[in-house]
Amino acid sequence: MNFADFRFWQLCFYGLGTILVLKLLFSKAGPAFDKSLLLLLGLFLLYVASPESCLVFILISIGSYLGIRWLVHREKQHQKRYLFLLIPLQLLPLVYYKYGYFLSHDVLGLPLLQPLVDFGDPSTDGWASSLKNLIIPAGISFYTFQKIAFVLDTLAFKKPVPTFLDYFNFSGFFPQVIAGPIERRHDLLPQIEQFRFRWSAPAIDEGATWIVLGLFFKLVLADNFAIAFDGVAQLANSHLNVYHVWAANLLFGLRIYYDFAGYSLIALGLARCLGIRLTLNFASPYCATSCTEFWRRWHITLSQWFRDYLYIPSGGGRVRWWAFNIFTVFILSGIWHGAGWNFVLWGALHGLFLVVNRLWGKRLALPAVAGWFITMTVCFLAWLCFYEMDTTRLWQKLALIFTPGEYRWSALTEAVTLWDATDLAFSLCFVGLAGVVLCLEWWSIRWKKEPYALLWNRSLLVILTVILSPGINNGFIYFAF
Amino acid sequence: MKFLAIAIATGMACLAWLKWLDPEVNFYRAAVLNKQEWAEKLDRQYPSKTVVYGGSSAAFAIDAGRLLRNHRLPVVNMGLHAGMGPEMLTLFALSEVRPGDSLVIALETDHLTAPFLPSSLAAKLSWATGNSQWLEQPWSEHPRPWSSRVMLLRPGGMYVVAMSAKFLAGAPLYRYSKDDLHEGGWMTTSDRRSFKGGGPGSSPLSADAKTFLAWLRDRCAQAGVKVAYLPPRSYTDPDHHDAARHRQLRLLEEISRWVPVLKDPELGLSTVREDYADTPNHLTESAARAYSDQLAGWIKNWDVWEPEELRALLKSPSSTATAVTAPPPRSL
Repeated sequence: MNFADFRFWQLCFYGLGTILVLKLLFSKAGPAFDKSLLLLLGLFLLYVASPESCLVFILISIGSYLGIRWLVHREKQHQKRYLFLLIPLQLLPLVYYKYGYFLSHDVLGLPLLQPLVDFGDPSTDGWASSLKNLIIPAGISFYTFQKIAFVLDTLAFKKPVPTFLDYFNFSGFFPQVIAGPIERRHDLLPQIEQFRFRWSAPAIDEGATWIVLGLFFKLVLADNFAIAFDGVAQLANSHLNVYHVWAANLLFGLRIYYDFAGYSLIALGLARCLGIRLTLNFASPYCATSCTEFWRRWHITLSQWFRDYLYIPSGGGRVRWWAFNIFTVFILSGIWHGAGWNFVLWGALHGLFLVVNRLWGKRLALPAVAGWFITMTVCFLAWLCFYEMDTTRLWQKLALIFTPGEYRWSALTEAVTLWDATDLAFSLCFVGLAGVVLCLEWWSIRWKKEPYALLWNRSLLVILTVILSPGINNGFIYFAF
Repeated sequence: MKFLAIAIATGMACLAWLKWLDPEVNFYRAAVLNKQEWAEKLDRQYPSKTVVYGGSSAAFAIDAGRLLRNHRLPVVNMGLHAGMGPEMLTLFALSEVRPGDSLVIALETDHLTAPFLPSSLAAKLSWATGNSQWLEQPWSEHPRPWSSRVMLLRPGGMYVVAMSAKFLAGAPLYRYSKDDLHEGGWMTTSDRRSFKGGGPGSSPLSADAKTFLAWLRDRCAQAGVKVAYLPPRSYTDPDHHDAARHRQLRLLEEISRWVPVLKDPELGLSTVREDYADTPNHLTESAARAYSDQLAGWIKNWDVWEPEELRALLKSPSSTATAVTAPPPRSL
């Protein structure tokens, strides 16, 4: 479900129009009718996006539902044992599709494995290429974690298992099924259970505001940063100039933020139009003045998932091995994002920053500006590990960054000379625009106590979106995860 | 909802800009009219003609007026801008092809080794000239929906920044002007810039290109149109010439399995820097005249590479065809 594609809005409009007609024809139907229509709409949109992903989602959801129903009927002393069976089973499809090749080839060095199910295009190279070319079903990383959280919360809080229809709608609520936010049972399920298709002008008005802001983030900022990043990344690869590397880190970091935050805001807006409140997944993370604060603002629902289901159960910050806990959580977070050693390194770096933050953050008591600068420096440094998939080039670029001699004045003038003048002007203009937006985000938090409040000027956002969004659509970057 | 009305109004303003004020679109609209008029003139006066098309490398390389005057060869140069993409360039060319004509595909090789992507410039020119059929994809089983074509009409950040920078600097808003258009569709420029030479990409034909070439071959056969591919003459750094030549041979051998390839002994590669104007693909006026004289012979004889010849060249790069023939003397 690509919210940046006009076709999604067309289909959504047709779907909701059909639902409106059906509601008029069957006006006396009960809540189950509305929930069935919601489910059908979601499956239809998912099917149009990817029939294979839809099929995988349905199979996993059925399996998870049967699993949780079976589990709650076990005796309490056995539930924990069977939980250690159910959760790996829930993780199995994710591991297979996303990590099968990485684990078998890169980690274990196993002989080439034949895939059990393959939607990819087997090359003449044989099994390995088939496993490597497996198409990852859309959203599997997100809804797998949502289902696991559901199981754990159901058992921990002794909640009843919902109806199949409610569970399916909880698992596959179409605004958030592909790329989050990863919702919890206690937040989303009650809303699903009470769901009816209703026209609410205030809800639609609020939802439209989030959608407009999300489209501005994605189409104006993220998509233009994608163009700028591609240009400077090629320069960085061919000339290995440290300033190009930092420029690429900056442009990528801005791109991924506005891309993912844009998606999350559109999801929020769509859900709001339907009368449902999702969790705000980003709260101006580039305004954070410490790494700890950054992770409270970036991909909030994933951070909370790791905190609640891994970090705290393993002792959290109250045990002697707290640093090990932090490292483990962040390495797993890195792996969640992608199957590659660069993602492991990304997670490990963030783990290291958090450990350092905890050890020395309060002692140093830096002013907010200094804290912000250091936080942004380390975050944008880490983005290099996120986008640079070639490990040889990754080490070369890291070596550049940590070599003081590379920051000489002649390297800076060379970097500017090699950069095409139009591309450089373009990058600077959009970094400037992002700077203005970030300032408004910062003031929103400081003055209005609400993220993005000062950006709610729909008319201006719409004008900028129509004029500045590139003609060619880029998919959402987080679809790759 | 006020903001929806504002969105629509802004969109209409952008469309109006494209239709009447965009300097690049205005230039190519004039170029389209120039080529169409020449094609219609040839149709009235000759039983058949040759249509050569591609991106700007074709537009700058072929002096169709010279071909008619000096060689009595009716040719129309339908080359436009490589950024318009192979789909629109082909459909534009086909709009002037009649049964009995010959069609020379002079698309830049990059077009044929990458997936076919939608082109914003193609969409803008199609909108401005009222030719939405140029955006169709008759060879594709899954053509792009109309909504994606409309989205391509957005100006975009790069466009706004570039236009603003040119306006503030007092520079021309587009590099070329109507004075650079000549009879027959030939383009020239007095602009001279430094650039680095390139070479063809090393990728094989893309899946899109294979489907497209098969469709084009069949369509021309049905319409009684002779078709061949001609690699555009582009500048290659002498240090990279051998590697570029080998890659070009591989690509041309693959293309020859779909359509014949006209026999340019230099395989579309040149190491003569002075022959190029502002980019490694734009011949100067004198070089274009010389190239046009060579092209006349290839078209008249319809001399094409046999696939076995190309394969033999691939295996032995030191064959006689590899010798860079001395360019013919420049003539006015």
